[in-house]
This record gives sequence, C-alpha cells and structure tokens, in this order.
Amino acid sequence: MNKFSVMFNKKSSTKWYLIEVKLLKGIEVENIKKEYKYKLALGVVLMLAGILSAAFFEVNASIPIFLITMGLTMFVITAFRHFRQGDLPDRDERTKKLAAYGITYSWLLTLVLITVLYWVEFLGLAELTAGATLGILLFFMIASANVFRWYFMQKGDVE
Amino acid sequence: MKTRIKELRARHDLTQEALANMVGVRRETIVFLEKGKYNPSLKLAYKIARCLDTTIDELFIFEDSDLE
Repeated sequence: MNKFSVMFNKKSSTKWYLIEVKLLKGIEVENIKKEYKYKLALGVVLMLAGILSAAFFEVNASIPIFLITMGLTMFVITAFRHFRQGDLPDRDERTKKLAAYGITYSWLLTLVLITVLYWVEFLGLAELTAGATLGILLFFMIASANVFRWYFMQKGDVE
Repeated sequence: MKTRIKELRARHDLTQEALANMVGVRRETIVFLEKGKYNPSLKLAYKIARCLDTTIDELFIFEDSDLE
C-alpha cells in the first residue's frame, strides 16, 4: 500500500487532504532537489575525472573527451531543468506516457528502416559495413524517439 | 472531453502552478487538462477533484462523441 492509497482511503475533509498533500509535496520537492544535487555532483565528478585522466595518466585521448563531454552535458541539462521547473517535477504521468509512445513509434519506424537497409544491401544499391549500419540505427532511434516525443508533447496527448 | 478545472480553480483562487504543485504534475499538464486535450489517469483526476473540493464526474464532462 503506497502513500497515496493510504491517503485516499481516509475519509478526511478537503482541508485535511490539502494539508496532507502539502506535507507529501514537501517530501517530493526535497527528493527532486536531492536528485538534482546528485546529478550536478555526478556531472562535476565526471568532468574532473576527465581532466585528471588527461593530466596525470597516459590514456587514449578519446576517454577524457568522452568523460568531460558526458559530465558537462549532465551538468548543463540538470541545471537547465532545475532553473526551468523549480520545485515542480520535470516528469509526470503525461510526459512518461508520451515518452513511452515516442519510443514505441520510434521502434516501429526503425523496423521499417532496417527493412529498407536490408533490401539496399541485398540489391547491392550500397555497400553497408556493420559499423555504418549500427551508426545509422543508433542515430535514427535516438533522433526519431525525441522527434515523436516532442510532437506528442506539442499535441498534448496521444489517442 | 470538457472540464471545469479552470472555473473551479479560479473559484478556489489557485494558479495553474499552484494546482500543479498540489497534485504533483508539470504546469503544462494542467494547461492541456484545462483545454481538454489530455485524458488524465483516474488517480490524477481524483487528486484534482479532491483539491478543487468536487467529484470526478462534476469535473470532467464526457459527451457521446468522446466515447466513440
């Protein structure tokens, strides 16, 4: 039994309900703030790891670049979300539902792309290496999922 | 689907952000709900109804065309 089911089972007045909601929201807001803090800290740690590995260890140049890019991306995105959303959650039931639909549509479209790539290879229209094919699919899945999600977010809902 | 969220929210002197904060969703979700462009889960509908001191069937108005 979760906190909401406990709350809804009580035959409390609206006033008490609002007080309960405010108390629970306080906990949720703290959790959101904690999540932001952890993500910001992780971003800084990744960036520092990248800088230190480049400065003190003889490692492949791509590793520090990867770590610094990841850390910077995580830090900037988290800071932006925190600034934009404030105490409100950056995800809710609507955004989760729309993201799930975006991924579903993206998966279906990728299936079509895989079929096309197969026939392109089979008919000898282009020489596709395994690396190139994986690169195309990776880019296409991420891009199409985000495009579909953005489209559904503009629309409001999916029917 | 039509809703009376905007009307009841105004009656309770609540902003969209305040209502969003109370029910734990993004402000945009309240915007789409008020426009009737988003069908909420039963749980969210119940939470909004409780916050606005009403019932779900008074808050959301379904027409025959919505059920087709």
